[in-house]
Amino acid sequence: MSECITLAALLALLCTAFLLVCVFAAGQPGIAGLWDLAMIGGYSAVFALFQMFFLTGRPLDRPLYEGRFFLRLHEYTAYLILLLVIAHVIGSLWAEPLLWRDIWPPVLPVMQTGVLASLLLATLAVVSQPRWKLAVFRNARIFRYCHYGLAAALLCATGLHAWQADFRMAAPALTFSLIGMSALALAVPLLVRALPVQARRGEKRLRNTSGLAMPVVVTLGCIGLLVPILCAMWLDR
Amino acid sequence: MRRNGRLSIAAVCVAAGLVGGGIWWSVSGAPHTAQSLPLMPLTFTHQDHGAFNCLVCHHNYTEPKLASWPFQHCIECHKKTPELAPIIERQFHQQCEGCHLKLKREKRASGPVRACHVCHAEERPPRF
Repeated sequence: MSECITLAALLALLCTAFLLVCVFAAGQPGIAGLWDLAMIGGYSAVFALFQMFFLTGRPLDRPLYEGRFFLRLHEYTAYLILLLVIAHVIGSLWAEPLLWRDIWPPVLPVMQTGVLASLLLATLAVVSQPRWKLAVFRNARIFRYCHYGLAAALLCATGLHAWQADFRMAAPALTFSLIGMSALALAVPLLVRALPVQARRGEKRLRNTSGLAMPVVVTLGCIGLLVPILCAMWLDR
Repeated sequence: MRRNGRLSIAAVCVAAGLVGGGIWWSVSGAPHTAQSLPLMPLTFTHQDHGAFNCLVCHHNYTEPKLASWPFQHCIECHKKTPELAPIIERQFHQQCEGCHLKLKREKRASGPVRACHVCHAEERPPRF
């Protein structure tokens, strides 16, 4: 249990730091409460997406929980991203209904990359369901390749969407950080597979720990919503 | 197994191609349709901008070659000049929003930033 709390605290800390840098590093002012909330909420989704490339569902050395815990963590984080993206889309359309007209090309490229990312996310969410997974992909290997390919495309489209918004990411240092983090996130799952597996010394993974994935994701979700609310209130005070 | 591997790589390549094509189409601004796209309604009041130098926007006053240009209305000129038509949205947003943002960052009264409906509304009758 203590390892679960440590993991949740670490993710919450990283998410908070990521959001604070995204919001304040470029020195941009607040626009309007709901708009800022929706936009910063979008960065929460970006953080959760980055996190999924590091917690890919493969068991890690620590915490020494059963494999299903890591699978659940990956799965629930995906649902959290879906929720955050829905909040991002509804919030921004609520604050500015005319954005609806910019979805169709060629008015605003930023909107089209956003739509593309949303479609990729929806596709990933559907084809990764156990029932669909068996129907669409012939075996686990094909699924793994296609899942990684689609997720990589999603990460690129999301990064491009955040960069094209050209507001809170306007500083060159932030743009390069975003590119660097995206490249690192894309490389990590490939590197992890390439590295040799280390033999464990008599330690056994704890059973019946998959349920602990939920509190970790709930903590991340709370931070992912609470920090944007506080930042929006601070910017528009 | 080798066949599966090839299929996976092909699937990833197709997905990457589709995404890459989509992104290229999106980023390039699909110039072939930009000129024919109708503009959104736009409202602009000179009264609200009376404190600023006219030449900030009316650059044609200082460029002699534009004096005899067939289109003297801002939007008309930018929309009908083939080189400017594909970038009209970006140019006007940078011009207006950039100035508003600069004032907002200086904590001065400013026009809207990212609030589309404030500028993109049916033109109001002039107030002067």
